[in-house]
Amino acid sequence: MALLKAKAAENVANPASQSGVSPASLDSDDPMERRRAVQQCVEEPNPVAALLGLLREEHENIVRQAAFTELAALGTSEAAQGLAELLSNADPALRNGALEALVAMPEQAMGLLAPLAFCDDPDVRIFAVMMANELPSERTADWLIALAAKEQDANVCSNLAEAIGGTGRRDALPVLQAIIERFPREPYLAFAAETAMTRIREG
Amino acid sequence: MNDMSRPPVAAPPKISAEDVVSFCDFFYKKTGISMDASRRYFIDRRLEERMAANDCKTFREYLALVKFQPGGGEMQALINEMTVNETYFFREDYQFQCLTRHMLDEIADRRGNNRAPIRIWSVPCSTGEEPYTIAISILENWGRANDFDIEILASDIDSRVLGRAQEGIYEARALHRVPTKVRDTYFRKLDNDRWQVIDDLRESVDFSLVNVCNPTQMARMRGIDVIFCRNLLIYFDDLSRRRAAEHFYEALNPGGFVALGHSESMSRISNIFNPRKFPEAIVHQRPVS
Repeated sequence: MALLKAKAAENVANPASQSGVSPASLDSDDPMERRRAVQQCVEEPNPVAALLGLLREEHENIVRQAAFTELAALGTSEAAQGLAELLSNADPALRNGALEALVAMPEQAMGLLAPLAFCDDPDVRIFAVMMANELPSERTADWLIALAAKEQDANVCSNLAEAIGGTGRRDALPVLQAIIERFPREPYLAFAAETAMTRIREG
Repeated sequence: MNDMSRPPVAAPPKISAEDVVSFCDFFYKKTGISMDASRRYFIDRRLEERMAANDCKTFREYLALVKFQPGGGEMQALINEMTVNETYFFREDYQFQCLTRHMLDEIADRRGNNRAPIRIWSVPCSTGEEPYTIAISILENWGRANDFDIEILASDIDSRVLGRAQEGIYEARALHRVPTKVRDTYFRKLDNDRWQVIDDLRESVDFSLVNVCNPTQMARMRGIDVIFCRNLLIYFDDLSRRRAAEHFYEALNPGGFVALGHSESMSRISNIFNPRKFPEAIVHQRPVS
């Protein structure tokens, strides 16, 4: 038989447990070492600032993802606020990473929805809608419906229609109808809103 | 003896809604498993059993025992009660076909002249059906099996199922997808309804207790080529899933694969893996470089 017993816990090569005690450097050429340095950042006095600063400098995805995970694990309002600021960054990978990290800290993320609704940048409002869509609750449904009632940007409304369709909330039907009437020259938006209304009625 | 003379039956200890919320929070922090407080019946019943077994009169007393008991024996007993262990041989077998038709060849080709063992990890392995299925699939279906040393690791957070896995005794219903010829090769019949995995196979799988959210335990898992982690992450919240995915990344060799359950998607957890579409299954690959 070609199968061998490995004795996993004892015999498997063990570089990480040894390296776990040695400090790693953010300046290393090796992304795996920079990643380990990121994971050690949480021991520093001000880890949120360090991690957010690193995210703006670092371009290796595997290192960035570790920073996003550590920020989500910290779960503080400061971390959430810093991640929310990245939603308007020019780098789409940073924006997406920030959104995913925020979704992994639902309590803090929900607290950000209200201010994000007032952000001047429609792209940020779209991210906020996507975030709300990943945090299903009555509270986020209320927020989506309230934003849809006043939103003036067609692209944001398109995302709102899709998200609201998933809430099953019948009190959203007039708001969706109002979107159709607000954008009479946007047939795709009428389609999105009608699809959402159908989902709610059939749900 | 009439009803009035019967000794009073002890009422089960009372567990309040706040207790359940508090328990779910504690259990999540310890294990990464997100217990939904809406599953009150399931949680209450198991907590009541453990409280009775330890003669704890209140939930608070029991929680203190779990938190502070030296050695953590009761914590392990609680984990054993709260985790679900239901599986059978060759479950979702398209992934094992994918392993023997594609993944192993890729790994072997990348090895070149390096004859380091190919290492496959089944987690959670529950009562052993999956790691034994992996072993049988390789022996039966991978033509290069004799050219490589292959190590099969199998882990679970539940110590009780690991004992059963090592014992390798199964009721016939767990073998309902095993072809007769394969069954007769790798199992021996104990009685009318029970079969045991043959000794050679049982001794070739290395079982160990691992919590995939525990960084210390996960740091021991390195140099893996394929991880089967099916239907575990669905019990985790977003942050625990991310953490587990990152632990898997570090456990894998470059180019190694993760196979998740059919209803699970790595793309919704983390983008650090590349999706690989094979004819039988989509798996997730740590980039080669």
